[in-house]
Amino acid sequence: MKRYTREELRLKLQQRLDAKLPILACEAGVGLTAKMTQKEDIDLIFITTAAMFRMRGLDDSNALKAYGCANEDTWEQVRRMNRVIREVPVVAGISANDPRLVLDEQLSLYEHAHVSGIINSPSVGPVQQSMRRDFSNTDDMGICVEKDMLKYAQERDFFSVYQAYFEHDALDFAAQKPDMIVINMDYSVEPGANPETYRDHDRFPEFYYRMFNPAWMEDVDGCLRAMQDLYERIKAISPETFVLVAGGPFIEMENVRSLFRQTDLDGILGGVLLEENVIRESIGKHQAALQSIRIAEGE
Amino acid sequence: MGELNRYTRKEVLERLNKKRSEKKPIIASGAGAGLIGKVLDENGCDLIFSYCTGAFRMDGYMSHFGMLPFLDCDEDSVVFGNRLMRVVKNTPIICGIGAGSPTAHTEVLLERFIDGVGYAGVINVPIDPYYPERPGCTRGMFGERCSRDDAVLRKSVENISIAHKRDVFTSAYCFTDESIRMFGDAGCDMFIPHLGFTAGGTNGAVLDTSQTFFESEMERLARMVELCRSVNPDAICVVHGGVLADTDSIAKGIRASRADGYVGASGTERIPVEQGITQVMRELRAIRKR
Repeated sequence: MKRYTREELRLKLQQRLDAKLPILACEAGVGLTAKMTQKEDIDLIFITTAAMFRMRGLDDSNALKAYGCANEDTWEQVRRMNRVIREVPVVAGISANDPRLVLDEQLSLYEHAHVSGIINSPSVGPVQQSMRRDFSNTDDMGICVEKDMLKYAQERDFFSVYQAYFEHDALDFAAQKPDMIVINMDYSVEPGANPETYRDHDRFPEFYYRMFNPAWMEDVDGCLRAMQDLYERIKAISPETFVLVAGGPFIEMENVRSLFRQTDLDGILGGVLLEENVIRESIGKHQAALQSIRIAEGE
Repeated sequence: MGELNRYTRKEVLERLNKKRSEKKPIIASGAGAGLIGKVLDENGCDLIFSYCTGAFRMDGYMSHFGMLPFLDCDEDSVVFGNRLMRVVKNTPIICGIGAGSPTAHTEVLLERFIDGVGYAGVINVPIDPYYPERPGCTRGMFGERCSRDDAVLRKSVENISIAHKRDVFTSAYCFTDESIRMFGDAGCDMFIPHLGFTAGGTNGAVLDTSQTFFESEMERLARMVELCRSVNPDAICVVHGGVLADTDSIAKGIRASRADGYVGASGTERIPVEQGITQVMRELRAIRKR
């Protein structure tokens, strides 16, 4: 890996935008994804446990459950990909709310591995509302801890990336002038998935505050308008912050094209788009081809 | 929650022999990540292999790293197998077992693999690395030392023999005629004539690309399959590696050798994934902002 200072990285990304090219970032759960996207000139590689779980064939919501220490797992992922990633700047996740986290130690590890940026991943964003509602003492946990962590990382010259699950969090964080905000739509929904599955969340009103609106799976234009609106509001607070989007309807190439045709968003972070769906499709097609081989010619 | 995906030796053999009787190729594949296992399972793959080269391959490194002291191959079979068992619903999973582990007896390993994790069988991976004429295999002094009196090969064969006596499904990568005979005597259920590390993609073996070489590899494969048949006419025989890297060459390889099918690792996971990601990245890079 190669370490970039915040300034170098900001400059590199700005050059893309000046050339009217969107910033392309990939969330890699295995080194092969990092390697192949690197060959095709990707701008940023994110290393998170969400991608790790997706590559295990599991739902990425496991990244927010007690099936491993996220900080240790992310470090393990960084080690695994340390040699395969050469030139592309890497952003690694830190689970800031972990009470056993020694932030300086984790940042130093990443620094030694030449990681250039930090993202608040896994984030307690998706469970914050329920925690606030159900527990009395939540002062020292939640999104606020993630904000402090990123502020400190930024002071140590790490490119800071804040992934926001809620609109108000995105705007709140913009005031801290991070280097990048990723609007995380939370659910990357398979094409053709039954929207009813996602409407189950009607039973949990707090989910309404999330960035992702199930209706957007059918109404992509509505989603694009909402994204442009949020983009403008973030940029009004912090014009220097790069704004990317991840997940939701943007796991389909056609919607990604519409995103850059109809909005000013700076780029896209592809996890399902660039890894999971590609692997599903390539392996599926290849298996079908192999299974249709006829054992003897003419039979 | 589904029930555990467990198969006895008899059930694995029935499953594979059904394919043979239908005159359809047996397609088996390594899985270097859980998602690969899951997708193979959903797409009707006949057999999935889990062994220590997989994770390196899926991280963009050479499969050969799985044979160097970067991890404990048998521990990897346990950890990785548990994860695969969680996402693979219908396909039997076969695990790699090292030759001559310094940390545990074969019987103890088999208990962990078969009774513990729930694997359906074993395969001799990491392979005996000393075959001077095959690409990617250990040469020189170290190779000589590993292969002294066929030490590694004999231990591999011993593993297969112990597993067979325990009525566990057994399979073996075979590089030489001698190894085919030895694994055959040990009761191996599935021979996999191996042409060396797979060519193609970003980390492939460097092979002669001429038609003459391809033809000679086809003949070599046919001879090896014929020998497998003569050693044990009932055994399943599938081919692997070397020039067998794309659908076309795999089809030619199966037909030329009259094998029962193909086992891929690089050929069925690494290369298709590399091609898929490259294509999607190119589509994305073609997009301009408004």
